[in-house]
Amino acid sequence: MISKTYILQVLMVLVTSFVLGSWQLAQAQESVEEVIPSDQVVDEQIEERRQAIIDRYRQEIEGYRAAVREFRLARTQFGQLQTLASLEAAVQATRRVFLVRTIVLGTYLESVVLRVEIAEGLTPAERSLLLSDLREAQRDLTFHYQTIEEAHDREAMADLADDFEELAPTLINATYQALSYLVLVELRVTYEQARQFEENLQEYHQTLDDGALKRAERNRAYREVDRTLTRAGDGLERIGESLALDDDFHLRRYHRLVENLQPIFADLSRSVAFLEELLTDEENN
Amino acid sequence: MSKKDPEHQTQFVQESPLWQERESLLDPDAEPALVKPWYRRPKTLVMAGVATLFLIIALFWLFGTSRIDQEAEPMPEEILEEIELSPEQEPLMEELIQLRQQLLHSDPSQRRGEAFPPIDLDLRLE
Repeated sequence: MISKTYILQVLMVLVTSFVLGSWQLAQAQESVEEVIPSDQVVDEQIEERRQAIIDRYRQEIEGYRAAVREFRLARTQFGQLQTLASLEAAVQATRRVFLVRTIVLGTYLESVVLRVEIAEGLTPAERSLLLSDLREAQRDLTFHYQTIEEAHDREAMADLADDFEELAPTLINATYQALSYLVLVELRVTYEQARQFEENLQEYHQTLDDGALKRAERNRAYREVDRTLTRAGDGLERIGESLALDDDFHLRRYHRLVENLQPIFADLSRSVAFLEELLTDEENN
Repeated sequence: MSKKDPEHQTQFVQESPLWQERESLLDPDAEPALVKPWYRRPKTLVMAGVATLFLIIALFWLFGTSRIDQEAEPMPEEILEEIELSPEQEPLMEELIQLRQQLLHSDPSQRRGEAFPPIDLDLRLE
């Protein structure tokens, strides 16, 4: 026989897990609001544009949350009262939330477009593909917005919900495709910079005259650096190829990509630490 | 008095421990049964253990190391800047500092939180 206390304790554990889980989710959602990483190197004009989009997005997402609350309230009241007045209020609240949602998504896509436009490390073909898909998504969204503006009754709201159900996967796909490439190219830039630094450091070391033994030791160290960098480079190329072949991007796929990039990042970190050792070791000897 | 005698049977039942316990429960003047403190109840202890385990998992999940596979620890930038360099090494050191900044910036785990806006994609009036 299960006692009340036992059930209460189980409930307490579940509630604690739920609260912790919700907190983590809330944190993740807050971080989403940082639509563009602040430390991205951009010129002043682009920085102003970036900041303006972030501010607008923050304002709009707040507006969206308020609109959702009103929509839910109006829908519940209509469900309970079933009067013409409550139906009208519910239709208006639905229309408003649809409009605000479209505006928020439009601003978000604008931010992603800007990031793709300024991202270093993208090949022209990749940039063109991403921008083309994002702009198509923006066009679809604009068309959806115009349809909402013309809609005023209950049936039209149902049609709009169906339309959006078809539209959402396109928006999600274009977004995660862009985010996937953006996370990849950051590592690509690091890899290229590391290769360049390795080359420059090697050139500098070749000018030194510090004996055959030291040179042999250094050559062994460079071989190790090269091995680690080559592994990172191969990994980047392999993931780049798989992205080019993929046409189904979503959150889970994106998280998998981030996980798959982690060993490459570890290799790059190791390479940079080796190069740093090679440069500073010169001074210590 | 034989064992089959009903009187004997009644007396036998009344002397049994179960009967005694029943009597004590029915007696309003009897001493109340001792209530065990929470830490002596096995169920509570198990639940406390489970809750602690949940808490540890949750804390590890929240603050756990996301860079476990990162073995190489780069030198702090201030120390790097303090190293005395030859004129030929100075541009290399600047290049290295830039490379390190780019490396930190490119950490994929920083991008894990990025996602499509947190909005309801299935809002319907009915």
